[in-house]
Amino acid sequence: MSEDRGDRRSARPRGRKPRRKVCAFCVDKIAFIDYKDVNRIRRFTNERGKIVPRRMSGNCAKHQRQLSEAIKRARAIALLPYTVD
Amino acid sequence: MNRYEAMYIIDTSVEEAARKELVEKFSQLVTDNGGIVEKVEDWGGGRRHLAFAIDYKTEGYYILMTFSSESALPRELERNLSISDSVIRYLVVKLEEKHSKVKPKPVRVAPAPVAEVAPAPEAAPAVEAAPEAAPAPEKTDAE
Repeated sequence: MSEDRGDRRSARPRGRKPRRKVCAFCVDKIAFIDYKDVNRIRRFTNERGKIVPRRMSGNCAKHQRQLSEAIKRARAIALLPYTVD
Repeated sequence: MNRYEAMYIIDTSVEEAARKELVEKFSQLVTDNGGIVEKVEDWGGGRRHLAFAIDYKTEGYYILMTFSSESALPRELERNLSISDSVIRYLVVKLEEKHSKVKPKPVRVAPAPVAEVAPAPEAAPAVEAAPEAAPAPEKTDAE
């Protein structure tokens, strides 16, 4: 049994350490992501102004949906850029 | 009745008096159509840098207005905002129930630890009060 488990662990591609990411919004217990909260939202856009994907940010699906909505609203009212050159 | 939040950006070339007049005009529009204006504020100190240039303008006055009204009013408000030349951008958003539900929860949690602490100091005075209370009924009995 223990040998099997050891094999599975070594079967992983070398050099990659999968670390469980936690949703930043779940940790802070935020029920609603506000588009006016620019500083919090901005962290989830990359240097080009794009929305960071879930696999990068580690957000849960529920909060990622809210986040994308909030970012798009913030863009509409010129709080966040659509693109950065 | 629903709760809404309108944010709009006024051109910085508009003078202060005219700007206040404009803000008043939009809040008046809400009240005239049976809505209740809850709050009007210069958001983020009013004058703010835009994230990108709109019509070659890099700054604008952000006005945030929260109001509650029937569902037809936001459309009417948006129509008026779009007509006004001094308004660079606007955004009218419905405030979700979740928005208001966030705050009551921490309040409910807070009283619980307080209630646990409170009985201890109360218990001590109660013991002290008991001997004082005890002689009093004896006197009444004697009389």
